[in-house]
Amino acid sequence: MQRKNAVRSLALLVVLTFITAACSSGRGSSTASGTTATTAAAAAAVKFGTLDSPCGKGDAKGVTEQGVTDTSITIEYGDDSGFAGSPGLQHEMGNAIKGMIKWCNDQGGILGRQINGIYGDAAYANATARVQEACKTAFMLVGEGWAADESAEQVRLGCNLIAVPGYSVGPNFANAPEMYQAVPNPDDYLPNSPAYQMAAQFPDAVKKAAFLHTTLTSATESSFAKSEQAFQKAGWNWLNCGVTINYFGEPDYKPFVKKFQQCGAQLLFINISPGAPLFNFIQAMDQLNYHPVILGEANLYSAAMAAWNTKGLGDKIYVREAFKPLEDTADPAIKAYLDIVKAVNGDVSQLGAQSASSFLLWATAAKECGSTLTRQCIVNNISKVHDWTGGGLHANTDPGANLPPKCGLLMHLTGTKFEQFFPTTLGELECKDEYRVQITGAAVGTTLGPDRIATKFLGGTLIKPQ
Amino acid sequence: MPLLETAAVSVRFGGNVALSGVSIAVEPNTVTGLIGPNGAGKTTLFNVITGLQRPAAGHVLLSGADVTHMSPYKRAQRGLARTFQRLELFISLSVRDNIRVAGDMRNASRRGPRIDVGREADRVIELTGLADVAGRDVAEIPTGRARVVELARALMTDPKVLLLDEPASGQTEQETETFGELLRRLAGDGLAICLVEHDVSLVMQVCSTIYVLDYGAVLASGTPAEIREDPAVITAYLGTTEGVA
Amino acid sequence: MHTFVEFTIFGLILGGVYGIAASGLVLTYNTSGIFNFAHGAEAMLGAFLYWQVRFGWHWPAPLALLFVLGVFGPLMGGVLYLLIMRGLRDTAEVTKIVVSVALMLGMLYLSVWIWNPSTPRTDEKFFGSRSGVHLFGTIVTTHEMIALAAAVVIAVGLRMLFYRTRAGVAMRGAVDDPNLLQLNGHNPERLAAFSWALGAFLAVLAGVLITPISGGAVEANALTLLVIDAFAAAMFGRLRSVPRTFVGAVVLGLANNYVAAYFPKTWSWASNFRISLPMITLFLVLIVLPQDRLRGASIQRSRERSRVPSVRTAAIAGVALVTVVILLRQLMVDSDITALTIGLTFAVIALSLTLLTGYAGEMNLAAVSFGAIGTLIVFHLGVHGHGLAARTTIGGILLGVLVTAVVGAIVALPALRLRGLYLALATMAFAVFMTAMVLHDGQPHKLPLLHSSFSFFPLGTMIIPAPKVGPIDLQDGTTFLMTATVVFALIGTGLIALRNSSFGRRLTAMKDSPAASATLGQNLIKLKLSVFMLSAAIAGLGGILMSAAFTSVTPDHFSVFVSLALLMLVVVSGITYVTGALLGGLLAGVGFSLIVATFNALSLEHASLHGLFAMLAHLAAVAPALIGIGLGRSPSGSVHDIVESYRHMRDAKGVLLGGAITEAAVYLLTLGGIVTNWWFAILTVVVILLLPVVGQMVKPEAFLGEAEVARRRAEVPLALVGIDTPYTRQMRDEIDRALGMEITPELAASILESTDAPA
Repeated sequence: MQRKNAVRSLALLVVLTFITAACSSGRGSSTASGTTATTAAAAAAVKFGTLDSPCGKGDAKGVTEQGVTDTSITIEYGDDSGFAGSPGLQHEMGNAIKGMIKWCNDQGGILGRQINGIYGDAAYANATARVQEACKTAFMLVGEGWAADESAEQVRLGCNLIAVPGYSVGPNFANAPEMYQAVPNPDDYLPNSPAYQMAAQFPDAVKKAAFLHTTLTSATESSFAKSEQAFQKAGWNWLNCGVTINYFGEPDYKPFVKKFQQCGAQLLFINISPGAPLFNFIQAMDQLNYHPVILGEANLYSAAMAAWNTKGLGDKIYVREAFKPLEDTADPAIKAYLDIVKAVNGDVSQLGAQSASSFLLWATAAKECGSTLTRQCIVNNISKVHDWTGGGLHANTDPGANLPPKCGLLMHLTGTKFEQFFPTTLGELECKDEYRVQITGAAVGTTLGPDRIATKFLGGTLIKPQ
Repeated sequence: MPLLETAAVSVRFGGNVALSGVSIAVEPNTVTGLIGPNGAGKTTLFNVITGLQRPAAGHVLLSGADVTHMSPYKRAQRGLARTFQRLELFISLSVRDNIRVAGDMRNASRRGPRIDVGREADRVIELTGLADVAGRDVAEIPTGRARVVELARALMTDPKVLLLDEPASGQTEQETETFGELLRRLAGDGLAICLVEHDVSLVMQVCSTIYVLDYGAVLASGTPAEIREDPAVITAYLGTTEGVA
Repeated sequence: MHTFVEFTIFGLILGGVYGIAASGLVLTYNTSGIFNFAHGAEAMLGAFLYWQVRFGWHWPAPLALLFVLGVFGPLMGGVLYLLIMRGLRDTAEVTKIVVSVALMLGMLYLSVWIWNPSTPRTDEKFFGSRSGVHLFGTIVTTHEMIALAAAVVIAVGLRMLFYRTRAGVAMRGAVDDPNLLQLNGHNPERLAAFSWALGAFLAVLAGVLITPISGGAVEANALTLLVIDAFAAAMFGRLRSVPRTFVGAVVLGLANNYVAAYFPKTWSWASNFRISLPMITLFLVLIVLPQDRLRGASIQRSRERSRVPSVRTAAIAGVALVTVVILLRQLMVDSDITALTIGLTFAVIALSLTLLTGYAGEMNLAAVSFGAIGTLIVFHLGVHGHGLAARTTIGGILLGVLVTAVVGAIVALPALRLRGLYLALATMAFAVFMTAMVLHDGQPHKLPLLHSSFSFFPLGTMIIPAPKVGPIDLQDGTTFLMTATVVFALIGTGLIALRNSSFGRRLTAMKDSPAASATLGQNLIKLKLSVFMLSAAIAGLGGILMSAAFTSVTPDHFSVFVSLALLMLVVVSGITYVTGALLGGLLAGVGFSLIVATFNALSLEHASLHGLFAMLAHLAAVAPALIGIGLGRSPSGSVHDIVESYRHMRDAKGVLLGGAITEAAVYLLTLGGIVTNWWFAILTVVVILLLPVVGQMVKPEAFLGEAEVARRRAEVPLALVGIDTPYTRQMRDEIDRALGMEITPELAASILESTDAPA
């Protein structure tokens, strides 16, 4: 009897589960919005920061490509928020595109074609599945942020699905063919502003710099290899303190702090994300009375980092950024982004802003195509964009040539808030040619062809700029 | 020459002496009895002989060869087989499969010509009278029959020495008589059988030599008639003469 | 010299940490016979709860400690015992392990549910991080000194408990022979509940003491991983002796720190080695343990039961599976196909567990790690071609399978005389070692003799192209799906053929009674080695296919937690059934992550129902753990239950036919687009699970047997017959029986005879 009951309850649980799921198609429904917002702003020239809005009414027509009809353009976007190991991962990117689509459709879409956005949650492991779906229905991928992007490359290139992602993770995706980003981070060029800016502010400390290695190569070591090479150009000297911590956590961080102390390091470069290992490491530093300057990668600029710093132990953390701080709400681009995401009840973050910028990049190229909206046309148009700021969201980048910005700023963690440290004016970026450094050798992380395209997945017929 | 001999075997469990200086010999063509009160060390001695228990001192000899440090399976491959006091049947298998698998193991050990497992199993089943329960799960047959299954299984390995640990417990009087006849037959075929039993009448009937174990030591040894009369044995185990068959 | 002293101090502190973590584990094992994999999770819950009351709700420290240590800890232990552990008596070792693994996973998900990971939480040290003494250039905080003192008190206290107190001795006796204990006047139930309460108390104490020493950040995984490392310390004491456990803990702590301090920086593998030290130590200690006596069947009698199908049945089932997949394929979109393929490859890996654990009774907590070995070989040696045209070759696959088998033998050889739990721990040590030293080996090392640089897992990702065997190119989704199905069916049928063969019988014999098998002449070592190698080979093949199905794999795909989850789901489905491997593999590869992802997507879509869907997502994540925990009730697994219920339907063919027709109708409706895929899935599951229930309602005799039906029908008490129900002839016969006045035909005949006689 008990067995039957167990089987029955299991059946009920499963049924309940599936019934609830059946109420939706399960893959994410479209966010087509048919509201015709007729605010006063619609009549005047709409801008996003300093950029003229690429969206608006028009009479483009023609079924010119998969996902393009007389009245609509279907794009796929998404993030990894379903990832069980880190729920809500990068959900700000999905929020951003959702907001941008609504903002654009409210103006009439792109030349009258409404944008039909399909949301895809890759949950870290399922990027290939999302791309497979998109291959069937979408015109392009726009503003997506999937950490396992590289794993889907074979499928994506196999169906010539052009991507304009919010960010790129895998080295073979960062220099992939048929891919353009608003804020490129290619394998062979590094934005080097933090090296120079820190050297200017802490000239002695950078001569005794050390890196916190971890055991997770893909997370920390590959990106450090580039910085190791590039920062020396600004006069940095790396000490080999031999400190490697377990990425997944150590029971005690004091031995590693002790090694840094004995090594004499006065500046630490850290690129692990804010979390228990980092917080505990800083705590251990405090216990051993070791207070070096810390330069953090952009991932340290987060709400979690600030919220943790109630005791001020992290007050010597400086974070490099190529983005204007989201605190600068006076800036029209920042304000536009914040408003747009608020309109869809979403959350904001750096990467969300990057997605928004990618959307604008794509939309601008799409508008120029007019009625004959094809993938080839988009590729042609974006490949000619060599100076892009997303309306003022971030430093100038070169999407067409896949080159990162030459500008940067430093944020400083003070108590539970980040403040802009250098340049001293909030929202101002410092730009110099030497801030974009070429990386050579093994630090590149993959094999690039003479055209700087990764060779790993070549072999089919690809859409190239004409 | 005795096919099985133990020489001064001693076993300790912590401070407890389970066996001290036990020497027995089992000749071919005979059934040798091993009796004594509970806890005397009979099963422990069997465990030492088969290799499941390491002795603190002493030797075990199979056909004259010293096997004291040999692993159990090697001793079995030299012709030693046993049944267990607490049934050690393969409960996931049927009666027939319990018997067959012993034949499979014999073939796998490659110590002789390959046998036709099915045919040999049928022969043994016939010999031990298990034909009527052969298809059933061992978990479902009565204990008395289950003990016979263990014996049949042991016979599949073509043993020269057979150790039986309380095989008649759980059997009816009728079954015990049949069993005694089977033992005599097997001994007649050349086996050296060592029988641990509490059914004293059975022991007196089938055994030519009897060892009496008490508190880990051999109290007495001899023919059934001698053991029956031995006052020390009577005091320790048998009780008054009225109770003896 | 300075370095040495400083790092020795660090080592002693870490040793104290490991010791505290391991002591509760030793206590629980000693007194219940169950190795509590969830010990670390209990510590984690303690740390979280302490944060909640002390820093979230600002209770004063003494009150918070009293609540967490004095109330919550023992209560959690007692409840665990009463609800779960008590039901695990008389179950196989693998069931006990799976249940405690399920508990661990459940607790992890629960903590993520209650305490959202995106908010940082810190457990401050007692008396703050400034309070302490300066010692040789380093500051030892008051909290750390308290922890060290607590470690000593625990060590001494437990030793005294076990050997000097009545209760302690009785607790140890409860494991060996609870019946005997009861006869001696003790209550084994109460003792067991007490020992679990004490064990949980020690776990929670560990959580509260250790978290601030690590730095204070309260996080779900850290303590679980730390306790896994502490297994090595527990093994020093052979899970019996608490003082030796602490010695082991100190050795581990010191070793960890000396390696960190002194290993040359140029040894690029040094840090991975340091992290693997506990697992290497665990493996070595396990091997060096004195040999366990061969145990017999009576000690291992367990409640699991299974049936073995014939080879013919298996072959038919295989064909049926392929047919079903072909039919399902017509309904599916591309991403579904990939998902199902992944599930089937997991099912192939699961078959290795069916063979090793289901048939031979040996345990392997590293199934997926063997898959990693196959994948590594294929990646380095088995890929042909470049870019989009790259393919994995059949030669590469064969080589991968072969090498995995050999590695399986190498790993198994030292561990072969270990049984049950010890073997399981040895395989777990291997799995964690594999992940730390091999899979996370992303940095190139200079190989001195070969003048080249090499790393196992370059840059942390491996791209495994689709295999191509002659004209069969698995790049095409449908081809891959069908190939995976056929591979599963072939191996599954092969395993059943194996089970029905002499080899299979010998495996069963070895599983049921190793002592009897040895005395029948079976070389157990040789048999175990061969089954281990075969199992490893299957896992290797499954792993290669799985990696190709994912296209790109990271070390996370092969973590020990994946192996544990797979084992758990396969045991829950039925470890002795090939169908169990199919179900378990599908659930592991596809099921629950799909459900969780669906709910998360839904919660984002429908903002108003966000709370409900988020809760359902959490519930779905916790569900496998709950099912695993319920294993104690039904240790043979759900497939066994379903198969049993379907067996009865042989006599209820009408019901079966009705079910088949319904299913066909649903399929056609889906194919025609009238019904969506989700409805198809729902209705199919409903039909399969509820058909036996319907059958029982319609034709109860088939299920229950005539007598039982009559008994159930006659639920009216006999006294009320004739009042509540009509008085039938059947009722009269029944009453006669109840009164002992039954008139049998013989009795009737003799009565007639006597009445015939002249007066």
